[in-house]
Amino acid sequence: MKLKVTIDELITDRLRAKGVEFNIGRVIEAWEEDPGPTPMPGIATLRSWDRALLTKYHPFYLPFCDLCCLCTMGKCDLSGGKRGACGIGMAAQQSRIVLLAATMGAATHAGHLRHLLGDLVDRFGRDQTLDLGSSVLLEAPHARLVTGIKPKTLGDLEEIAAYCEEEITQLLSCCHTGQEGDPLDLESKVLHAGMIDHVALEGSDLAQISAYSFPKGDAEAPLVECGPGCLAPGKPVILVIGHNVPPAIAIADEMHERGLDDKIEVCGICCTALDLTRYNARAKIIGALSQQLRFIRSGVADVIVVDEQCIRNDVLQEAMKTGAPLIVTNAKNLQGLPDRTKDDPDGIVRALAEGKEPGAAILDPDKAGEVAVRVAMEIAPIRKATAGLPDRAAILEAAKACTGCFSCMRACPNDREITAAVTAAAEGDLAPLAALYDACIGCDRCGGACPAGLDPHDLIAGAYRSLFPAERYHIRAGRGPIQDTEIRAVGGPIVMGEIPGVVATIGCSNYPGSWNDVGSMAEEFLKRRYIVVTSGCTAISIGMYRNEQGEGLYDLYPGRFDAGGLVNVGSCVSNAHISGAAIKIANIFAKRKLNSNYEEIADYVHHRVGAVGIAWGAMSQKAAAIAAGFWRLGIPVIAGPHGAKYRRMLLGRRDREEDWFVLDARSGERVYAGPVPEHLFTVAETREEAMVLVPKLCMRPNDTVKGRSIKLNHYLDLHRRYFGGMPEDLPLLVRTKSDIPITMKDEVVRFLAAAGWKESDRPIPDPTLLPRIVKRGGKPA
Amino acid sequence: MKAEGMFSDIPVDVGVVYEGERVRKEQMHAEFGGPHVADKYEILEVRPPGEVKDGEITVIGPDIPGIPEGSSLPFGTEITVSGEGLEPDMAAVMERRIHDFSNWIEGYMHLNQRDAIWLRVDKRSVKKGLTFKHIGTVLARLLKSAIPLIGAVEVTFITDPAEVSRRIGRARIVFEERDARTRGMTDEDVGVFFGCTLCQSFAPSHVCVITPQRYANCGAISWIDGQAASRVDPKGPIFEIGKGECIDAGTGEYTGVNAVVKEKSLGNVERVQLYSAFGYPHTSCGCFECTTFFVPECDGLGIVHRDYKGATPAGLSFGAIADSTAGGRQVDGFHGLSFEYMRSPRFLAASGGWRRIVWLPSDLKERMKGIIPPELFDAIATEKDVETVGGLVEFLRAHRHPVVERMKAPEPVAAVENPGTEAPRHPAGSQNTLTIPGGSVSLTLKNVKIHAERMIIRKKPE
Amino acid sequence: MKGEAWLRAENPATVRAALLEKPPVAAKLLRRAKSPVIILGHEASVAVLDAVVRMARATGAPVVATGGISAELARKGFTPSLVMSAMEAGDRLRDPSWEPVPGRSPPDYAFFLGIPYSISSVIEAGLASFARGHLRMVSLDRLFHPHCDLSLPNQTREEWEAMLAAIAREVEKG
Repeated sequence: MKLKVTIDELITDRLRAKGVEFNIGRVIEAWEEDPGPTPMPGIATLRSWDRALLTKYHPFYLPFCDLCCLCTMGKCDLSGGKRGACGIGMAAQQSRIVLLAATMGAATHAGHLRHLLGDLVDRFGRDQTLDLGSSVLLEAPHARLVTGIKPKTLGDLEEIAAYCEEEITQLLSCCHTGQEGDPLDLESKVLHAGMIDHVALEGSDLAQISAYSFPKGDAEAPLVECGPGCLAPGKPVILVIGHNVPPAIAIADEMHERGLDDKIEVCGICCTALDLTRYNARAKIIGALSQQLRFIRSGVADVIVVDEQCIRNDVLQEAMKTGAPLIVTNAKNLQGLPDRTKDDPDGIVRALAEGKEPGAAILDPDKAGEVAVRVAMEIAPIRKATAGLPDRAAILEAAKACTGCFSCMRACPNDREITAAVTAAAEGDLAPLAALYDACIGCDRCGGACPAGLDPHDLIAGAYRSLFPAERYHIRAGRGPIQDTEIRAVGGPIVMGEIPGVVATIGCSNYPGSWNDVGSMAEEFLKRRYIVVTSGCTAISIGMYRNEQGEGLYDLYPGRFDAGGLVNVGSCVSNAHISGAAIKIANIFAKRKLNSNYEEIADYVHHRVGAVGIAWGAMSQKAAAIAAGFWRLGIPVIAGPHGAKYRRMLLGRRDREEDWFVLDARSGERVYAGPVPEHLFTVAETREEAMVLVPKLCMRPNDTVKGRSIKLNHYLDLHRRYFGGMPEDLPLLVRTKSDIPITMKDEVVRFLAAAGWKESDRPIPDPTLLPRIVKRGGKPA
Repeated sequence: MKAEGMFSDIPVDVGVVYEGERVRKEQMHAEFGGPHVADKYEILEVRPPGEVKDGEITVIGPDIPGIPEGSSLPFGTEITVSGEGLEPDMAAVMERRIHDFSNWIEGYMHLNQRDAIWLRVDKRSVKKGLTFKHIGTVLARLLKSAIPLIGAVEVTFITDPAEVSRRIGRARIVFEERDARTRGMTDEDVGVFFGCTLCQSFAPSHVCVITPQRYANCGAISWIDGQAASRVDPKGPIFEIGKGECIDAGTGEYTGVNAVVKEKSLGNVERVQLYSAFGYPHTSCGCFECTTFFVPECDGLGIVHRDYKGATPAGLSFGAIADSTAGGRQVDGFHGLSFEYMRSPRFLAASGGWRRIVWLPSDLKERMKGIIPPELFDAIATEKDVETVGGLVEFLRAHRHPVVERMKAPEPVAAVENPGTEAPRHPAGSQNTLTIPGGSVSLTLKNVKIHAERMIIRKKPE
Repeated sequence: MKGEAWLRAENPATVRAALLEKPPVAAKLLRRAKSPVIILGHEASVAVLDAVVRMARATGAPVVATGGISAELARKGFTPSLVMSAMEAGDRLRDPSWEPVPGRSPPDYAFFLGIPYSISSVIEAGLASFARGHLRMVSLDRLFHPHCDLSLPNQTREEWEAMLAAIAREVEKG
């Protein structure tokens, strides 16, 4: 809110003023907490905190491309120490691209927030209160922490959005030629982008949960159906794809108003699907992003409605092949279609149902919903798909054209054995093709590469098609935030080490192998009584995993934020609840002040909250921004092999003792705290490597003896299973004899003795990197 | 996967990874104890050295291979330990470890304790050759490994129903004696208390003081547990506190406690009165099971626990109330505590004890039936009786609650600051403000443009 | 196709690895390096492991096992010098003072194989820029790695296994 007061003349007994104009840039309603040192931080405000992290976690640059082609002085070859025409070096260039990616991601979420707010304010008004239910009083940990605003209404979120937008503009400008050239300063700005991203994520989810009454931190949010096999045959099918849910909700509402709840199947892919099921548990989730192309090509959908983000850019061409009209609903993704927002729905329905137009842009969610439902009812009985996935005979016939040139494999990001599978099909065996199904990310680069004009992607999906009906799973609808009481309840067990960590398996579906890998990883840590949190496409893939007994994990494990709980927070924007939970631990459990107090809270989270993210299939720029938001809080993230293409890691060096000192807030002394957590961002080569990393990256300098002992127990056990033997860094992680897990005492003691380990005689520190946190009496050395 | 090292002679794996494992009915080979069996128990006792045959594992009745699939049997586990420095009081603490250790065995599920145990063994583990002999060996090794004071362990399993029913009576007597001793123990009976700083890992200025009559706030550590823990790990977070001089037996203030709390809280807390909710109350961490809240209108205290989802008559939920006291602070009338402390005869004794309690969630009230003095039981309101402070006051008057007497007093007994609305430390914008000087000066301003970057509106404390 | 990046779009800027097609040449590199190190990833087959163990034993080159391949090596009775992730190994190699085995001089030659292409190609690109003063990189992988100084060509699994066995034989000849 801004305020402007003009006074023509003001006369008091001591003051005469004419033409007085008061201008107040921002009116802030104070809340219980005094503002901390950094309200609405600018791009350099938190630089010293970032430097503190970056001196421990060094960027390791991985040029995904040796060239810079951003300005017309280029292309410039930056390899081997060469500098570009503008003077930039390889390190700065890589950081710059990371910054560009993270800023794009943050911009996408902030744009999403702005768009969503626009729709919701139109419909519910600016004064619509934000309400996360009685169990979530700390409604917006990120907004409170970063902006100092405690949002109460949709209108308050507009102010938060404005702050994000300004920061994103500044960040993007840093990517311009001749701006920031220092790699670490660029990295600091990456972290800033991440922090802003989480503020935007939080605002988006807060708005939609409140306005649409999504589950409010409900551990028992309903189980919803998932997988292509869950669609009832014979009904018209509306497919929604994207991230911004109002049009999909309008479809559900329209169906309801017309009494068509049971007559139409509304299903979705990616986050719009997740968010739709938070609104309406009858809606169905087809699958993660990797299912997009194959499901469209299957021709099942009668109408396709897209909003924004992660939608295939060829969606219109693909939709046209199946005869399904495409409705685009978001100005960010118009696909060249005519804007019919203001047109009469009858006319649009007729044009689409009769196939006169392949699609339409309808930017009013309610109108888009109406048109989608009406078109689905009209077109379903008459639609004739001109293409579809090939049947067995077609596959056998097509495969004969394969010359075995390996072009498909050389185009496959996962280097799958496509050529051999097509060759086998030519000889009548479809099994090898079908076996590639769950490792295929659905990119269809193989199709574009084949000189014989085959499309291996379709051959794979076609070979698997007979198994579609069995693809029926459960996923728990996104529950939104973690309750304040849950935080209070797990605070103790986390302190005592009974809960060895929080594992957030999140992100896109660009998996390096079978999508079942994320399910098996989640199961491993659920069995070990970690808290497993998930969201987005990964949450869907976890639902599509069945364990050895054929059970689904959402059926098996409760949705509580507690040991052994499998917590689906929701869509991409719900990721803010995961980082938010860490912030809440600092505030609710330890009473650290939130208001504009980022450094202190991040310092707390980094040293005490044993959380780690796994983004096994991270693909997008948004994922980069989300990861950066975790990094700035000092929470480590592990990505799958494709994550190496994010261009740099943030790695610790356990072999450098000097990197691992902290201040003990009790005494001010600098003390060695061990290499925990060892990395801030790294990739794992295999699922096994990721699983061994998790318990290690959950260790924190302030672990109690019991906590460290349990964390070590999991680390040693997983290391023994997957790597064999004892880990060489064990002596750095065992502080005193009491840390040694009792089930392995004898062998650990022997191993430590052989390694020349000495027991630390220091108490566990009250760790911090911030001199100002040191208590009265203690002086930072 | 088979373990290497410490348990290489055991046919199944042993590790914390199996802690969350459940043996479902379909996977179960046999079940011991549980709801369908009357006689079941497990007990651990400390014996003098020489009376325990170290490493001896005995099974009275058939061992696992001899038990038909699908059986449901009475069951007993008796463990005796000896060692220098072990005291009989520590038995209960060690006994509770049987639960964790049993669950670490692959395919062996353990629930509950004492005479409520329920165990299952998985078909797959039986197939691998798991026997009670192995289980006993694992328990003995883990006990020794976890508690270095233990010199010798002997384990006996009883699967013979007649023998279980013959022995269970003695076990029950031991449990009853232990409980009686714990319940009967007073602060005066002991020379030392125990302090716990486990929560400092998260809330750095909090120190729990644990006495025979005051459980830790988290409800997990009794005085006896504290004693055992401090002996087992003398360098650990639970430590002995010399009582020092008793300053006031009524409020529970001791010089020794004050000194330790001051040191461990780094000077944040200087005095603690263990049994008072006002003045110098015990601090609250973040993991307390319940908290009191002060209702000034009736000068009474309400109590709300973590699982109560609704609002209290004061309009605040558990979370909001907890927020106003957590983090190692002393806040008058707002006081984190455990369920077990509510059973103590000295429960908030200096502040009136149960006579000061005016409101409880209904399930908590039910749980405390038998603890709440009978004459007060009906006079304490729940969410089913009242929703507002006004309603509460009326209810209390109607039921002649003892606080009604105090309400008649002209001045409130305790002056209490309303938590959560601290007065602002400095008025907003106190720096760089334009102050118009006093005296005879007059100012004329023309075309004034004042731009304030921000205006902060702060509500005055009510 | 032999000397092109396997993944079509993966290409370095201006300098591409020299093709290493003759086992004796590869063996000579291993033997003549002052301080070689072998970074071995999980894609190595049993036959490849055999060859790597022979090379390591014959030259004394430390082996860094990544991605869980240490468990396979253990089954062969071989203990790698270090177990760490490929990223960690890459990061260490960037440091001219890093000693994979304490007391031995920092590596002058790194031999990579068996690490997923998406990881190894960018690590090699990073080291080509940031370790160029002290490190030469040789790819013994199944696929051609353009960012290395030298690389085996793209091969089938069978060809690769035969090639590595041949290199191991040459190394053992001394």
